[in-house]
Amino acid sequence: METIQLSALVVAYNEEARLAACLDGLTFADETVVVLDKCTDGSKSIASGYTDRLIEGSWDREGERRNVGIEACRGKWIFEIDADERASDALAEEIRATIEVVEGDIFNIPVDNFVGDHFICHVWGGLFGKNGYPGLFCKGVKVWGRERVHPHLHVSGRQGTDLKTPIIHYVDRNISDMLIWLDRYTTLRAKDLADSGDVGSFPNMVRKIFSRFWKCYVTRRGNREGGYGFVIALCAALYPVLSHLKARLEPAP
Amino acid sequence: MSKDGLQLSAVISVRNEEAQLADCLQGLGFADEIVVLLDKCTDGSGDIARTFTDRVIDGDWEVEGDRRNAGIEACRGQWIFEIDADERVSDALGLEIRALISSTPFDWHEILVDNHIGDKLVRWGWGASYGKAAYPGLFKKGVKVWGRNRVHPPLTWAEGAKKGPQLQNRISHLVDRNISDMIRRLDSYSTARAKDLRQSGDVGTMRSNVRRIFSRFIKCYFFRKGYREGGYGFLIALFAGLYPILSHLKATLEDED
Repeated sequence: METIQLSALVVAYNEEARLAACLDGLTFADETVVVLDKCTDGSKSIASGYTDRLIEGSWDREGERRNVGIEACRGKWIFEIDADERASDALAEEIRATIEVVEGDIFNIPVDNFVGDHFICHVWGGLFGKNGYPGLFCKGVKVWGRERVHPHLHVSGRQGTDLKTPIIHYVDRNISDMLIWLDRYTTLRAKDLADSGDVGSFPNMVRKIFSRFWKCYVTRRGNREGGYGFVIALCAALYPVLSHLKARLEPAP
Repeated sequence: MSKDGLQLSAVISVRNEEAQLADCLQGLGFADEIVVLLDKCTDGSGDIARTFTDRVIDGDWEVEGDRRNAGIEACRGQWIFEIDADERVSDALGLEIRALISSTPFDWHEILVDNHIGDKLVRWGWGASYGKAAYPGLFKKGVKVWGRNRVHPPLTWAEGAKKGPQLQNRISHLVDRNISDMIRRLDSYSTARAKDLRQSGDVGTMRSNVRRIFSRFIKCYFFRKGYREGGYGFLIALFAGLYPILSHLKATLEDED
């Protein structure tokens, strides 16, 4: 009987440019599951070159499509990765070793973030990038929440020791990508705000421009990253006020 | 009068504007000829243009100023009225332009702009390279030459050309559909500006561009009264403020792709 120990899960939305490089690194898993959300580009044909476990559909919310993907995995263990991330051989080995000697149900994986070829060490943890994420877990212990942006996680089970090898995350290619990202996420965030019925107050959001910039650029040492650190801090600073104004001035039809 | 007797040319240069072009050209019947420049158009803009005029010029211009100069060059009228595809002329403005050029002793006139974001008229706060409150859109042939920049080319006026009073009626400018459009315009303007900066060899300093965030914000939000427009006024001032620093950082950190 076939037993699948480890499933790799990728959720993709029109990712033809990056998907192949991501899937190339996943052969260490016993199966790869790819969720294709509203893909109209070549993502499907690329994915089908790697696996027959494809799930196509249209989901409004990040959490829903991720939960569907987790549900579809047949492995006891699940490794969740995005199309803009890469698993190195060293990470693959560490993951396989970790699930051999089970000392927990869910493990954090550290993240190395890049803008273009530029490695960004500081600043993350706010909006853009992440310093680590619970990407390796036993099936059943992790459920995504329903928020459109940065959905909450509902985690049960024992937290294991963080992995040592970072996953590589290509956050953006350049400043244009960051601005497009800022636009997309503030639109989604505006919908969440409108749904919640509380869009906040404008003076508050203006104050947040300064407090968040300070936090990102100074406290989290974004200033060590030069110009990109500045833009990351700027985007993090503007995220609340742009979301607020989109929700208030441009209610969804 | 010029030798073929045309008094007024309307000129427009477009790049894939099939959604807007017909609405714009419909308002230009008051001119004696319409000249349309098609810059790298791959959509239906050409077909639409040809139903309004036979003065259609196809081409490929890399620099905004060059393209605009080519359009002016092609005009045969004594006076030229310059308009963009996202602008609309009312009948009243058309009549005022005709009346003005037959009597004015001046060589060029500014036209005030009513900027719209979506359906909302946003009158205050524009300027500082992120939108215009008025532009020198009506001028005699030969007096106005565009500079060779990609964004916001500077203008050179012929020696002795006299500026007349602004027109009473305003042109209507559909500048953005929403905040997303505003962000994308900030992105594309700063990308183009970064190319100009790289080419000039002087990309400026981080320090002075950080200062400009505040000075430009204050200029737009307070002096130009953007605060009267609520949230949109705030965003105009904010993006006008961010335009120099983003251009600077793109020019410094990123190569041309």
